[in-house]
Amino acid sequence: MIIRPYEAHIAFRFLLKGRGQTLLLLAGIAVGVAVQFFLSSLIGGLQLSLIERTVGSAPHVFILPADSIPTSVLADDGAAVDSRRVLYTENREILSWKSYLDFLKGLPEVTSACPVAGGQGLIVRGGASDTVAVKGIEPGEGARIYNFDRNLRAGGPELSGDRAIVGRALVERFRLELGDRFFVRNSRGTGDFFTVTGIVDLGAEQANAVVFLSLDRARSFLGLNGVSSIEAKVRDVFAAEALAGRLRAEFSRVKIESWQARNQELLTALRSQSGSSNIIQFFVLFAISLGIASVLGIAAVQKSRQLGILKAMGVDNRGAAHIFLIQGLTLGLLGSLVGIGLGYVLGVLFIKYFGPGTFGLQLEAFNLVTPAVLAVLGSAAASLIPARRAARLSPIEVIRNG
Amino acid sequence: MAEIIAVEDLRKHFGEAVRTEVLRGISATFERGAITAVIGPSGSGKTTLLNILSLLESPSSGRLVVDGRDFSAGDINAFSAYRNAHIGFIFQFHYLLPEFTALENILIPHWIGRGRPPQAMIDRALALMKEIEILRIKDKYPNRISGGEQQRVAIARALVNEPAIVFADEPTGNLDRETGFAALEAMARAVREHGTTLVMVTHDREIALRTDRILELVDGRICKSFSVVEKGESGARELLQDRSCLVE
Repeated sequence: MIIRPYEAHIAFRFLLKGRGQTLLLLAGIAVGVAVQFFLSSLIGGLQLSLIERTVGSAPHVFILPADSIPTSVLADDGAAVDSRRVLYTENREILSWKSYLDFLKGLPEVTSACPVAGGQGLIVRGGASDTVAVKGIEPGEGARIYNFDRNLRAGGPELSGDRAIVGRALVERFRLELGDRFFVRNSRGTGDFFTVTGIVDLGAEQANAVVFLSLDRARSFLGLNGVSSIEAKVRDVFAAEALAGRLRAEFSRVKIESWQARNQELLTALRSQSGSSNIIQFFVLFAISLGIASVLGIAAVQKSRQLGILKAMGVDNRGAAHIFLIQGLTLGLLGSLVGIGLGYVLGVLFIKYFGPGTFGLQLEAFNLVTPAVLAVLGSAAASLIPARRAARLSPIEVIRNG
Repeated sequence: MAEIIAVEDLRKHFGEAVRTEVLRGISATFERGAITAVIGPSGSGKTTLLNILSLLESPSSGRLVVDGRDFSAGDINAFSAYRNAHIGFIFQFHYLLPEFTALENILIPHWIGRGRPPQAMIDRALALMKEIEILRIKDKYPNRISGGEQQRVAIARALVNEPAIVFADEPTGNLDRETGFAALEAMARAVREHGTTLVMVTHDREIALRTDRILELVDGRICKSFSVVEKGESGARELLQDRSCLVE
């Protein structure tokens, strides 16, 4: 669209002289853009914070032993049926874990990978007892996966011998302090004493019922020859499932899971939230466009006389249409700018009064540019209707009818 | 003087099912630099003729040549640039743009044709305003000035691009007699000074008698066509009294 000087000259003057109308339209567009910007930033921020809480201090990809292997119901001699037999062999460890670990560490998207010897234990102290998750990890890599640098509330991240980093839930329940010794029974009936050298808070209550040990100590405690899983963190949390897929194609003898597969409900909830927010935003935009179309449409009718004489004086159909398109585009651009500012202020105020400490706004360029671009496009599309009307208007019609 | 507009057997009808013949074969020429009055009773087709001559409406048939260029057929929209550069318009209802001041209204044709007016052009517009005595209202909006002043603004606007021809449709029809005459005097003076051709539709015989030539239409045909200059004022007046066309 080549804009000739007079088109802009007349369009701007029409906007300027129809001040009340222009301000109303601008306010409409600005509020619409602000709502869209605010809504998408809010929902984006909420989702980011939910995801961060879910997987921020947890592994993203898990390599696990293959599912249990069914065993024959026949006895070894092939004749008698032993009805007391367990019908499958539980497959609880990965023996050749080093090759998987090396492979994971060789991938560029993997930020940390750690072998884990995990199992259940029973913590016994005084008259109380409770089941806990026992996790043996490599100090460095494991600390990165569980964000010890951020989540450690007391003590240090070192793990060796009897040193144990204990989850906050256990510390509170069993009144443990740094340096305290406690007893954990294993599934084979024996047990060991460990010393609290660190206290960790992983957020969720369930995740905090955990005792971290060094990998070797946990293996001997749980009676494992290999490891029970290999856990990894990736750079982009949403690429975890894709990586899991690739690993599945690569390795058939282990089971591979991603955090997404383990949190289907959360993801479904997030998706429906995004979906409903998109629908709301679409209708906000639609309503604005309808408003612009009707107001500019009325303006085109009101200005029939002016357009008629302008056409007599040499404005061609294209020029007449441009006068209205420029008005629509200008309204869209100005309204978007004001709307973005308004949305930002709205977001800052919201955080200040309602949301400190809960979650932040996701003030991303995408959230900012998308509603603005959509509003400009919507305004332009809306002004097509009066533009067409202006283009079709015959000067003689106006002059003949006064 | 050479002719600037020539029409030959110009016809115009409206409607297909119910056909209304408005112009039934007009042949005439208009001299360069002359002021011509087109007169006739209501419904005689004078405004339609003016609209066709000024390239705002296409004829149904016939030949139309303006300043050496054939406009007998073609799209009105395609003639926009030509109208802007060569034709000025003055309408009965002024049609000034209420969003622009008097001076800005006068400069609109320049904006349309050649973009932002340079200072020389603004000076020209101001000189034109001084010439027709509306300089003091240059920064006023149309709704703040009188009807006579509005019409003078429209006259200045018609002349600003120095068109070859100005078409005026009942330019004083909306004004009282005195104001109308004064506006007309101003227009005639400006037109003669710039050597512009003026074709004017009017129902006022007194106004027509002050022009160079009179073309009377009756029922879509030319009834009389004569030079006021050649016949003299009394001769012209006598010719106008003759009602033979109407009787026929």
